[in-house]
Amino acid sequence: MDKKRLVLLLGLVLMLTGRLAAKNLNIGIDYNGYYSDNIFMNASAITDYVSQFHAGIDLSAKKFNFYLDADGGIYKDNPEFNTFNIEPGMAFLHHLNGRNAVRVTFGYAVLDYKELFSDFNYHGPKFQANLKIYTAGQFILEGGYDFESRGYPNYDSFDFLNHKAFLEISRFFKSQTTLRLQAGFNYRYYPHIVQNLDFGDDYNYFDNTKSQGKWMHKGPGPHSPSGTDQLIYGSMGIPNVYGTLSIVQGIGPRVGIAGEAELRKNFRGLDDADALIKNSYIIYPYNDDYLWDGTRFSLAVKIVLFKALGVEGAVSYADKNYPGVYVMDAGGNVVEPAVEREDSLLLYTLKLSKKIGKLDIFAGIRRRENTSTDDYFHYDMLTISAGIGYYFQGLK
Amino acid sequence: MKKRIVLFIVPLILILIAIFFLNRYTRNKIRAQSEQVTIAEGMTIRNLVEVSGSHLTDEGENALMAFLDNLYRNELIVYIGLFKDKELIRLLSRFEGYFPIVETQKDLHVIDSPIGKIFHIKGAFKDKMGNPFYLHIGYNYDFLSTFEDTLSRNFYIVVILFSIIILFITGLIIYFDKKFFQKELELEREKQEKERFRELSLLTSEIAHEIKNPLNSIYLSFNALEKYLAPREEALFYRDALRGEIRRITAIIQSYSDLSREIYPRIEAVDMAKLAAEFQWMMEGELKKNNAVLTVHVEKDTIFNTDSDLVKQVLLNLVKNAIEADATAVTLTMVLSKKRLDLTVGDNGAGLDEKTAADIFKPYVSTKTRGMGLGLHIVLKILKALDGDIRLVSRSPGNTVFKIEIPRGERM
Amino acid sequence: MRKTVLFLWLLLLSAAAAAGEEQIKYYRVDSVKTIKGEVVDIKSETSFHKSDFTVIYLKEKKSGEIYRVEVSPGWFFNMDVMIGSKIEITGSCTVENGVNLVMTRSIAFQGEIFLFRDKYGFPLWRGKRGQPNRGGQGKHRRRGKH
Repeated sequence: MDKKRLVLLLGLVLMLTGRLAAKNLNIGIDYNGYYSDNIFMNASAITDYVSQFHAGIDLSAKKFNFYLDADGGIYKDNPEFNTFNIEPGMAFLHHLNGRNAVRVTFGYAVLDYKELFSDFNYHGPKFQANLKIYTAGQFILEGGYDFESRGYPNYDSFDFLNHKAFLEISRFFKSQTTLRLQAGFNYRYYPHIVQNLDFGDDYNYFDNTKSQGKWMHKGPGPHSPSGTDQLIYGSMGIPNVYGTLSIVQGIGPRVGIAGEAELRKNFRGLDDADALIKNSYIIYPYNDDYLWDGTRFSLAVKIVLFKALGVEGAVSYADKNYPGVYVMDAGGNVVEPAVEREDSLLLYTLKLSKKIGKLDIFAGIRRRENTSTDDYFHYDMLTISAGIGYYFQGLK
Repeated sequence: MKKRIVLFIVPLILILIAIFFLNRYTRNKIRAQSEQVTIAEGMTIRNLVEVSGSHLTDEGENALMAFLDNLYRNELIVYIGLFKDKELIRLLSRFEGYFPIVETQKDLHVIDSPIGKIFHIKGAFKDKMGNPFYLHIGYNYDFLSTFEDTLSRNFYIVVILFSIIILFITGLIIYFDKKFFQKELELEREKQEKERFRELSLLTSEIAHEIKNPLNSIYLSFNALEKYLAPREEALFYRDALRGEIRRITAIIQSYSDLSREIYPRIEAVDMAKLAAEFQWMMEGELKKNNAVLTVHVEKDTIFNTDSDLVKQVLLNLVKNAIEADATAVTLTMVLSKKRLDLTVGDNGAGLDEKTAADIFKPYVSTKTRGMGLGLHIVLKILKALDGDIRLVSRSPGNTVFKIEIPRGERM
Repeated sequence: MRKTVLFLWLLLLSAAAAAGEEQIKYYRVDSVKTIKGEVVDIKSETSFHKSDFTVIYLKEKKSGEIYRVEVSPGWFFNMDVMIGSKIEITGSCTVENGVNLVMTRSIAFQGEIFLFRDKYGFPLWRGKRGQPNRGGQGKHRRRGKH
């Protein structure tokens, strides 16, 4: 909580300095609302309407840009999931020669849920470095490194460090084809994760004041962890490697078709990471990239219609295996005989975007069809969203 | 309590809203006025340049350019463009290539831009040779908002400070208020209890008075009946018990009819074992009804100088309380020594919490939902009248124990 | 032969551009056109006293004419347009010193459109200095849970 205050204070200071410096300050606000018939993306199929607010201010000084972003998500029918996110940071952009540039960003992110899900509150620093070079022979080379560290004050088992690095090479051909090859490495490290739990009868929530935070255990209780409850803390690193090949074909300037094929591989199963699974599945269903193995194919069409109206339609198919994650029943017990979770995900999206004066407007529909060996993740989801963004520019 | 907070916060909020709207109104007014000023200023400059333009061209175009450069130093100006006939001979613009001339007949029009509204003013003049010059000046009206911004920033600072002070004061008031308020509440409560008690006393006096008459008749009738009793031990036992009960009723009524009056014990030699037996008989109905058992430990032939009625009343109150506390087993132990009678009453009822235990002998304190909580108060009073004392030695659930000490009385 | 001609053309244009730097250029609201063509060259040249202004030399599809398209400061130009790309440019068109000059309002490429100036020619890169891939250019951040 103290850290959050500090962050807010820093943001406020930045803002005031911005105000005083006057006119080098930009403010952007965004509103994005979406209706989903399955907000948690699982068999529970809970519908809700979500409003997301974003406000960001940034102040430019020479090659530096200081920013403060604040985001809030409000769930109409499930207010326990309301979140508030704040991130102050600094970006640095330096131009080498011509179009070549190096960008570096530092930030500190804080996310808060309300009471019920306060275990998923986190805060931590972020760092990004990126280099892009346009070579003489129609090649573009890009390399980047991304670091993120998250501390979960109420559930230290979720703490993690993330290292990402990628290299990308693209080549443009006269046939209006851009060929892109990207290879990346992702390493997620959990320094103290709850690895093993013995499953007992009832599910109980127990506050173990000895350990650094609360932990959940299964087993008759609430009482001491001796007896049938086995709690093991350990550290866990998950290396994940991926390769993507994409082709973008322009049909005239106003139409582009993009096809992409991705291959992912995990070098460590997720057998013994109970907390990991809970964290990822429940709260970050969009962000399970490092969890799965497999392939993904997508095809997208982008069209610019009339006066700068952007239309984008895409279809993607992914075959995802979750090594070490087994199908569980409603009680969280592995169903025997143990079957690994395997998903097939079909994703359809349609999006419209237009800039009208100072406003950025978009509207979209998304449909997900996920089939899985785990009935809990066998679901369909339809999301309808619309958003509007407004940017004020203060200039000297 | 809540009411007070609401009463305080609501006006504060109303004031803030009022200030906000006032500020809004002021700002709009300022904005409108600045707009007027901007236009006026623009017009003035335009007129100025139109007039001086022709003179300046006489001195050569450089003079005119120098003049425009000078003009450009004004931060409010976004661009200045000068046409000689159809050719643009000078453009000064703060933004790369930004010079929005819109085909319009009007001399003055407003353009919306990312930095705000821009007033575009067009002027014309001629040089000596009659060459037409056209001048376009773009003013950023919103630059004036720095003034507004300062105003609003100050406003917000003032509002925040003001709010903090008010909230702080409110906090203090609430804090102190709580303390005084609580005391007040307590006093109020005590007063109410006393009032209630007084009323009840009056009422009971009335009732007592009413009961005294029929009670007298009962007593007389009883006396009359005595003659007809068969001389059997059982009958005699019941006779004595009845007599005792009638007297007890009388005694109770006496004490209730004037609670303020002193209790005058009638000391006589009492067979404690007999008293205990009588007491047990007295409580039989009550005990049965509540599935409770009373165990008495007393030695036979223990004679003690005291007021048996008062003692029975004490015991009655204690045992009744125990039953009402859901006790299923009550024990009564009497231990006699030369100078003292020690009575111990224990029960396995619900017990008492710390707070109640501290005040239990005060009147009006009760764990029961009904009743005035007079029972133990009277017990104490009776015992005091007997020069005795009562202590609560254990209050834990399942084990509530009262210890009573009564010194040997002086026979009258 | 063709290549040499093109090369000379570009040389001439660059020279003209250098000379043209002294010309007063501004975004003419009343002469906005859309041009479809192929990128012949992409350079960083000085414009508006900024040394790294991205300039695209565009060969119009219909007429084969070469246009010198001034886009924006280099750091604001995030498009992966390369030599040979077929793009569509909307902007203010004038002829200066015999050179077709375009001040870009928007560029469409491979189904995406990027904006550089507003309706009146106000440069959209102003005030967004040093912002890597944040906000701007009509791209919005990914929605959904974090």
